[in-house]
Amino acid sequence: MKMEIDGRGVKIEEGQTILEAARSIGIAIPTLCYHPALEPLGACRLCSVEIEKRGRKKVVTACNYPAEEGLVVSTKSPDIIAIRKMLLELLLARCPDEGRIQSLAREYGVVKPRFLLEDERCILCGLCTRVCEELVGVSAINVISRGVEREVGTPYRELSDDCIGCGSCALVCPTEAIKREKNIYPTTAEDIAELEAKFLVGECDDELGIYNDIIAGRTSMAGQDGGMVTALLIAGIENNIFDAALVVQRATGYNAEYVVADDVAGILSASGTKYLRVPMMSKLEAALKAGKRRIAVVGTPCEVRAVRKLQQLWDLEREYPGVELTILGLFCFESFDYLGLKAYTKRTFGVELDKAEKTQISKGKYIVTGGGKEYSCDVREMESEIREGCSFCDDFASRLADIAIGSVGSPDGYSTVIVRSKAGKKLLDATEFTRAEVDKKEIAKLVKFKKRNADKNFAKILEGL
Amino acid sequence: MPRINTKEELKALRTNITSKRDLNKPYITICSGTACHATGSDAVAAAIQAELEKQGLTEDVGVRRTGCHGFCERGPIIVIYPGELCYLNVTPEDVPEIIAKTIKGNEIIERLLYYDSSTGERIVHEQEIPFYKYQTRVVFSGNLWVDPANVDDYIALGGYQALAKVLHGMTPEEVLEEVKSANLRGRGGGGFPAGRKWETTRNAAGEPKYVIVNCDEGDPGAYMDRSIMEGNPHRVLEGLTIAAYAIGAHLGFVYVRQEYPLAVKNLAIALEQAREYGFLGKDILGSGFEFDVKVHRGAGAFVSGESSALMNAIEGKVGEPRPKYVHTSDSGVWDKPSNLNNVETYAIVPLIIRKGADWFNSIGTEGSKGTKIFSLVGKVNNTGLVEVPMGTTLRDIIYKIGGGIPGGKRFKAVQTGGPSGGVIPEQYLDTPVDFDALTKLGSMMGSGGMIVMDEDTCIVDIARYFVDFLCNESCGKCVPCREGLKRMREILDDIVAGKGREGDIELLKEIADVMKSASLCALGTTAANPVLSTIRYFSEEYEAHIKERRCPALVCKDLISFYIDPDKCTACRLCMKNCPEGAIEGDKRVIHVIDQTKCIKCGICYDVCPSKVGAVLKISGEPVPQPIPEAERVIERGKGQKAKGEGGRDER
Repeated sequence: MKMEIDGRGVKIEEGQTILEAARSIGIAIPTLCYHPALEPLGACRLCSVEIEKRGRKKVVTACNYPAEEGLVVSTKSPDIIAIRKMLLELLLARCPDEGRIQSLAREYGVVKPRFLLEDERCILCGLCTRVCEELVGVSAINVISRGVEREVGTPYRELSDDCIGCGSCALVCPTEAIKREKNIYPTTAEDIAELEAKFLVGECDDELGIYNDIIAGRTSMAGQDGGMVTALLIAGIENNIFDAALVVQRATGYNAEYVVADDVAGILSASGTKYLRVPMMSKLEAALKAGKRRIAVVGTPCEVRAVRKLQQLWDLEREYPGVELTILGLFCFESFDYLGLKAYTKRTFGVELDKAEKTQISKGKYIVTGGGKEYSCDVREMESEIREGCSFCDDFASRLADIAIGSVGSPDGYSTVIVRSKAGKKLLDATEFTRAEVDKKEIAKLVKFKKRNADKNFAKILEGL
Repeated sequence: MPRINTKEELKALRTNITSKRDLNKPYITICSGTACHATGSDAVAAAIQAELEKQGLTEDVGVRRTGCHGFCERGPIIVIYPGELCYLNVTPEDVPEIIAKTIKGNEIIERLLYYDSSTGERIVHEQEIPFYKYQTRVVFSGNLWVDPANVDDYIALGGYQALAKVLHGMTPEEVLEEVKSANLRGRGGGGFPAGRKWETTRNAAGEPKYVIVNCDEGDPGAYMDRSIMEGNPHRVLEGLTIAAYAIGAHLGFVYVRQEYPLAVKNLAIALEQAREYGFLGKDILGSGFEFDVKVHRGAGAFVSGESSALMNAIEGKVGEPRPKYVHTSDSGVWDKPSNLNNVETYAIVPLIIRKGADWFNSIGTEGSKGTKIFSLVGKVNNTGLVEVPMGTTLRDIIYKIGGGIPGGKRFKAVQTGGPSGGVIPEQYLDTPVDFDALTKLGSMMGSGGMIVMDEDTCIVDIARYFVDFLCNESCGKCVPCREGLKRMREILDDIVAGKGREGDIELLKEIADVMKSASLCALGTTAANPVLSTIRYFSEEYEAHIKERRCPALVCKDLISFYIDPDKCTACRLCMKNCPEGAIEGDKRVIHVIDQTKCIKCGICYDVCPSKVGAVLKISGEPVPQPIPEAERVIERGKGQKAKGEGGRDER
């Protein structure tokens, strides 16, 4: 198949768009909301081109108009230039300080918009919301409101419980807008460096992150592995290091929720790992609003990231004077969707997850104890039940936590503990446990594996930028 | 209800229903559309019921609550049969008299009849009132007689016979041909030939196929679809089922806005009753054809009326237009072929089937066949719903049916087609209204909204109103529509505030051009029409605002001043007492003066100054005359013109 763009013939393939065809022969068409890995949105209209079909001229957007046999396209006709000029003038008036808009506007000879200047950052290209929905699969943000009030945000403009802080949105954002969004937690490489410098102490290891101590510990607690999380929390409460802990407790059946525990009994009731991701940030905010100030938070790496971003983006001290957060991060390879995991467990083992006595993921196996019997399968078989966002997470060992805990790297019956800050050190020092040696290589192996996976997914985004 | 399995059974059912109805028995129909509901039809209906019970007449007098009669200006409306006696603006207090005199005594109550000010006569029969007399009610006719909650009323008028005819004797292709040869054009906006749309959907690859009713109707002031859905839902369902048969669909959707509670309610009742009779569901009328309907209530967004946005909304997504270059007939709901028409379009279909394409073609103009319902609102005496043959002139609609402009004011323009349409000035009043003629004038038919404006309407302000409406109702996805509208509003805000600049009109046109050619959906490509058409016909009014800082219609607050003519002021203190800002100085027998620095231009002084005095003036584009020296403000008793015939006024 062939068509014509700006007087040049171009070979086209079924399913190609005008934009793809044009780019294949080096004809540049400006775009703002286009990304090859995402569904076209047709929002910026900057890629408008003129087509001629059966003698009739029409303006269409090149990003989503299918290339057709015999189509005649003009990408630079005076009408098209006039359209782009006006669009850029409108965008420049909206976002006068955005470099990307400034340079495109300059290219089209737009210097000073004839409209009142606003100081918006967001051009509403929708790349962030589409990446979050279509690729990451989290949908933490979307466009809210309509018309001239349209903006990007979280549901009801509240702190997001769903954002995993993967930073994909910040990566695709052509402006500085998404980094300023305060209800989500896009964590870029610069953010990580900044947060590490601010909160962590110790030597830096490429795989394990910053740490000042690493041990395998065993306690008398009846928790997961060596029961170290439970022991650390109890020590923290008993030694007045914090007043309360935000911990995950089973709600109905296997499903779980974050609760505020401020005594030993509360902490004990929350022991045992739940391989689910449950809403945390709204509960943390509620605890702060309820007057709790010195709080320990137990969470997965994505939740740790979220809490750290909160500390970076918000002036928490002003809003909640005396606030002191101790972050206990968990090792995490992936988490599951409650309904998915429930259905899978029933389907594969005939076990009702809600009635299971214990679940564990260890050494690549998913192990369920139900009705006194133990069942297991390879975790890799459960891929479809994994929350989509996990494949965009490159943090296994909670590298931003004050103290990170997991089972990888320790002998059976022990928990691995990586101490990353002074607060973490203080907490570990207050805890009684039996020490053993850690196999750092085993941890590093999983860290690398998870990172490689995430990098592969991020590559799709980076390639299109 | 028995299930109807054949054409004959339907006929027998109709005969059975009609045979039980005594046409000589007194019958009171009460218009119960939303407008009459607002003016109190519920209370009137309750009063009628109570009075009939009190008089022991419940057996002898029938009562029926019908859909909208259309003459909303004069509701609540009741019509008493067999004489077709029409009473307007009826209140519950009138009811005992109506029962006593009209029902029992066969006597007409003059004061409740329509008064024709041009002839000075009272008009007894509904259909002789000019508002109705000059209409051709074809689609809307059932509303006068049908109780929407009673399917038997619709059947009695021949309802579902078209469906029976189709299912027992026509192939889907024949139905398609009939609709195509009737040249039915969609009543929802663009006027696209319905038959061709049906054919595309039918021939599109992909199963299942869907048929959808658009009852989103978001244009300000437009309510014809609502009134059909409220008043005669079975006509829509019958049309929809016929379309489904022609297209090969087995599931339909009605997308109706949540703000139409009565339409939603009556539709639900109608669906239930249609299923019971077997007009919907499996094996409809014993034909083997299966079709059912789901109702999707929209959350009230103008943009959701756009076809692809509506499809998204039905799927449970945000009601925003899709950016795809594919028609919904090919890829609509869940990417399946979906036929979308509005309420009125479907409501016409049973009539075309029953009466034939030739009949339909005999009404209307070359390019636009049949009738069209308009909602006639604004500065017109008889606001309401008007059904006329295509090709009726604007003048006939506004003057003959609408009764002209209230208060003897001069007609200025009529806005048609809602926010996507435009204004049409006086010199085109004799234009025959059809799809193409309106488009040629820079406006459009749209769904049939008609907003009449008189000389007191500022045309720039009207353009600003529509742009502001769209600023809030655009989805905001694409740059030209969202940012373009925002900047248009900014410019228009400035113009009406007296801050217009040389070049504003050109800039508006420049933005409009880009919106027109580069927007994502039809909302955006037509959004500039109100601005473009007002500039086209009233550029001098724009110029007056910009260059002379003058609002010729004396509307724009920042451009007008209120001034008391010292030669006319009788010092009655009426304006002084009513001024909320205490901005008027004066006293008994001391001519009043407005302190311009305090005046907020609310216009109360202007409104309260007795018309025969007319001392308060609105001025624009000229400086306010200096107040006369205080010494000259005193009015001496019995001296000068102020004393003439106005003696008592200053004593009030």
